[in-house]
Amino acid sequence: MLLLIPTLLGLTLIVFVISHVGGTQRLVGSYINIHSTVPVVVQEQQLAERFHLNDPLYIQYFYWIAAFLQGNWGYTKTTIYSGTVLDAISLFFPNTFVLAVLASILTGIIGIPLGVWSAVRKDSLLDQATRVISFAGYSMPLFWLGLLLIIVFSTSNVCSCLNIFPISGTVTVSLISGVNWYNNGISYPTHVLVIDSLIHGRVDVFVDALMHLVLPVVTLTYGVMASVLRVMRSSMQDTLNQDYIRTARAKGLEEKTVIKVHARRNALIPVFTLLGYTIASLLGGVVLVEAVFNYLGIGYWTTQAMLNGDVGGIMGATVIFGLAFIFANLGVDLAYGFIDPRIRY
Amino acid sequence: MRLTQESELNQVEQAIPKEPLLRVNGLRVSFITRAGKIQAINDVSFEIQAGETFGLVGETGCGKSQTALAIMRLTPEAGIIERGEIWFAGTNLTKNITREFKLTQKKNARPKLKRNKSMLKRLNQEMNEIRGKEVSMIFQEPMTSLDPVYTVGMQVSETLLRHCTDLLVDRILARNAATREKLREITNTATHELTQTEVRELLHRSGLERLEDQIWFIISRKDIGITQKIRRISELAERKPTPITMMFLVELNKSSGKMPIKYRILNKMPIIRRWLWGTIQKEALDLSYELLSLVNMPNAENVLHQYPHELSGGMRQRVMIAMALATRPKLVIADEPTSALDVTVQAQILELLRELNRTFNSAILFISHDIGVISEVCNRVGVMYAGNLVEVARLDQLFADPKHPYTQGLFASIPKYGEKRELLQTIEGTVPNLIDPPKGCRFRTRCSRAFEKCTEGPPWVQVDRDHGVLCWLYGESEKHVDQ
Amino acid sequence: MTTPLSSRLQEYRLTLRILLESPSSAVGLAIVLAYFAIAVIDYTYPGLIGVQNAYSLIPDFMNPVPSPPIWPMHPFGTTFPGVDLYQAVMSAIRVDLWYSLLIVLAGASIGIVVGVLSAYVGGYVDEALMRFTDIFLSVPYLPFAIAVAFVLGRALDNVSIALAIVWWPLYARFARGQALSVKENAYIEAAKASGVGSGRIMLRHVVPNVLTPIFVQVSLDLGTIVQVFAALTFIGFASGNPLLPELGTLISNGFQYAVAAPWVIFFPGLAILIFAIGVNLLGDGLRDALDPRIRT
Repeated sequence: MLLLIPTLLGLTLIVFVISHVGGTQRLVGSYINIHSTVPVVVQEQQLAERFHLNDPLYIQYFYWIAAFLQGNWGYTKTTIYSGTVLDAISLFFPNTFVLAVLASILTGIIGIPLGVWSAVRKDSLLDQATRVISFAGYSMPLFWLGLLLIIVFSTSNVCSCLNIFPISGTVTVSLISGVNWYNNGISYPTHVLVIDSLIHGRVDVFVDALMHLVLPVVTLTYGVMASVLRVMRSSMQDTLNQDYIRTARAKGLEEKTVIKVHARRNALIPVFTLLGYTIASLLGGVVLVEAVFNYLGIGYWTTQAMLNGDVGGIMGATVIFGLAFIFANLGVDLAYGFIDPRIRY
Repeated sequence: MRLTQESELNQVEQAIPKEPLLRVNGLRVSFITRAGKIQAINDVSFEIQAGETFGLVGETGCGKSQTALAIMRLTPEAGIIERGEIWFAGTNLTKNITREFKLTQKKNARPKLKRNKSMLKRLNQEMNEIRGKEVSMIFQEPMTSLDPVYTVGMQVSETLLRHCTDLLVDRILARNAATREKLREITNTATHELTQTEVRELLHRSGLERLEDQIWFIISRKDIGITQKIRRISELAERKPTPITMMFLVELNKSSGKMPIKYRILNKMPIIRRWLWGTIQKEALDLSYELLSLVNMPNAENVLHQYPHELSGGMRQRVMIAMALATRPKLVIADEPTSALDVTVQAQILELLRELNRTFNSAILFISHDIGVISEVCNRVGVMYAGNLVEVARLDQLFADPKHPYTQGLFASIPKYGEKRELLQTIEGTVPNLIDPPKGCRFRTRCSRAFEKCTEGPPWVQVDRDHGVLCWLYGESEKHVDQ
Repeated sequence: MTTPLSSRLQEYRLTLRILLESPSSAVGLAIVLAYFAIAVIDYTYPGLIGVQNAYSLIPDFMNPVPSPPIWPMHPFGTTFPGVDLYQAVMSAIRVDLWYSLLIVLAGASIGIVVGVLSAYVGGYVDEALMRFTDIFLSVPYLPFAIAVAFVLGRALDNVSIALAIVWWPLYARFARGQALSVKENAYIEAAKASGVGSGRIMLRHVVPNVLTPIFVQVSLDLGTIVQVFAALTFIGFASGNPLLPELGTLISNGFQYAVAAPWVIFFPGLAILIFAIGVNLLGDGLRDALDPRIRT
């Protein structure tokens, strides 16, 4: 747990360094009021004074950390939202969280058993199909898959029978206009449409929001599941060659038991080791999927910030991604001790 | 009149040979690899009687471990039993070997192996009733042979839960009949001075015979004193199952371990299943504790909850032995159990095996490359070389009069105490490549006494009642070894 | 020990032979070679593959709307604004391949140097270097690359720099692990015992043995980097020269027309997909071919 502190410090250091590479003008750009009488150059100087931007770097870092801990994360100004970074994060993060969690759960439910059975029934039809699916998955650019799905499920192409899933956004506007708890893409109180709609008793909105989730979740899941499948399968194959599996069979245990009790749990250990990288892909994939499907989450906000030249936004996004990653890895480390008794604190 | 009848009876008795526990006949096992077909085991035949200790000695690669695995039908993926029979306790373990696989070989191409999956499944189902229960195996590397993510207690209980459900249920139900008053009779007598028969008598009088095992275990424990023992015996009356579990257990008992129909559906539900089996699992853990004490495991109570990586090599091997003996199997196959241990621990383990052979009358097939170790445990020995069994004899016969040139070379190369030499005696040459072994006797390329006839399959000559050799030097025989 | 050149060549030939035995690896190798061939031809004699201008997309403002594929004029169709998709994709392959190769080689070089140094020297240096890499590894790679590329300015070169910065820590970790296990080998001890200097040991013994698994990893990463690079340009980074042929920008250009004119995004994406498949097949095949168990 204590190791968390240096990692967090490292994160702040990185964000700090990156944000200062661009130069002073960048940093204060969001705060300049173009309508005031004071000329921009003077405003810049004033802001530079206020934010200690003329002081040596290590002092700036100190002030930066202080501001950070106080919750002042900067200011973001993009087309979808303008306000403090912290507010923006609290508005967009829940949606991304839902997307990421759903994709992870689906990966676990489908990917792990599929990997196990693929290795057990080696070279069977199931195994070959799994190998192909998995291979295609991690060779495919994720955003391209999203686009293909959009094409397939949109109104005009292929056949109208496939027009079940909406291809963009988080909710159909017509359904939700005139509602007091939804405003311009942001719903209250939890900022997650699927939950809020239930809270407010609008089941039709709930179903609609759910439908809007389908394609993004499917795309993201496929991307993550492909590499999980690959690792699970190969580690299961390695595990099945181990001596203790031979012992288990020599004990006369049913094959079902040998696989479920002994092989599977040991095979999961390498998967957990790579979980850190898998989560990194998941978070990266979130950005792409949200961009393609116009899904209002942190990833979408990031791309918008980038296109609008919004430094605050980018830095805030980097911080939140870093935090999410660090805590996810922490969870993985703890879970690791749970499944492998050789590594216990 | 009577005397003649008796002597006639004795003669008849001697004339009818007792059916051996294990009979391996003409076993041939090969491995299909990229480089070719490795003829690992070539026409091996031997027998083991019930309660006997039989050793299989030979150098690395001679096929002794594979023989053991073949008996258990655990031959690795690339291996096939091409022909032969393995009879265990009257059952033919190889009755369908011809139908289990198909080997095709096109000209100049690598042979292809295709397995019949459904036959394999059926075979495994049948073998799983025998493996672990009637035949069990102890492996060479105890660290990698135990599952690292489960506790020792769990792994030993696993065997018990799989094969000995009726025994466990019996023990639980036996305690049901006991009350403190009835047990007091036993505790009142000087408990540590009772023999097992006396305990049995006492229990019989109060109708508690089924408790004999549990009570005797407590009495024979060496690590606790009288007061503790008395307390634990009395406690036996306290540990009764709850009424609902009781219903389940009684049903189980009636159907002798198989799942009664009423409970089949309930058994499928995970939470209810855990509840039903809870008492039995605890009982299995207790019995595991007894087993660990039996193998002289120090600090057995704590070891139950430890993981394999927390134990030393000797302790792990004891765990493997406990797992192997849990079901009182008829045959225990020990594949180099002491090769990974240091000498002092080795001696303890060997002593343990001897003791368990005496107590439970389990036959032991002991495999080793070390003739010294074999001589500590076995009363009959088979010598293997390059996939062939070249000599079988009683231990004393083998040491006194080794017949096969390889065996002779083996003994000659052991440095003897008091003997003065400049150079160690060796057997010239190296072990042949088993993909393309020498035609006829596989040892002839290194044998100082080889002659022209050796290029054809040497015969198996029974030199004595218990002593046989695979060599032309000892005459002809009806039985030939063909390549 | 360092083997003489001739036996090294023998080893490589054996690897090649085993590689070609498996059909999937052979296909992978063919695909990768084909892509590199396209890139080279596009650079030298673009006319050979029917590309008129290798450095820029040629818009046709008379027909800006994307039109479907017709043979032989527009085999892949056209995209907005009237650019022939086939030529665009061919040139884009060259551009993407070039940048991706640069990124992977740069990242790998820095990473290997840091990793091997760290593993071999050990002690404080090792700790410090690993802490340094850990800082970089605390952010997932895509958002990190976005942030770095953003501050450097939106241009393809900066995207490459950003990706290299994000990628080298992974190699450092990987190389360090490999170097550590090589270090434990007996022949290193033997070299030390015979008085060979540290630098020489590192260069002649550790690095060559570490290179093999790294080579496999590099080939696999090439596929990943092409995908990530295209993803970043798709999001909208390469605004410097909108007429530069690049697979990601092609897809983002066609984004609005995707539903009506699927070929606009289909072909560029397919180009990425096939390359990734080829590289992955090749990488897996290489890994299997270099596995000592199979070589005997």
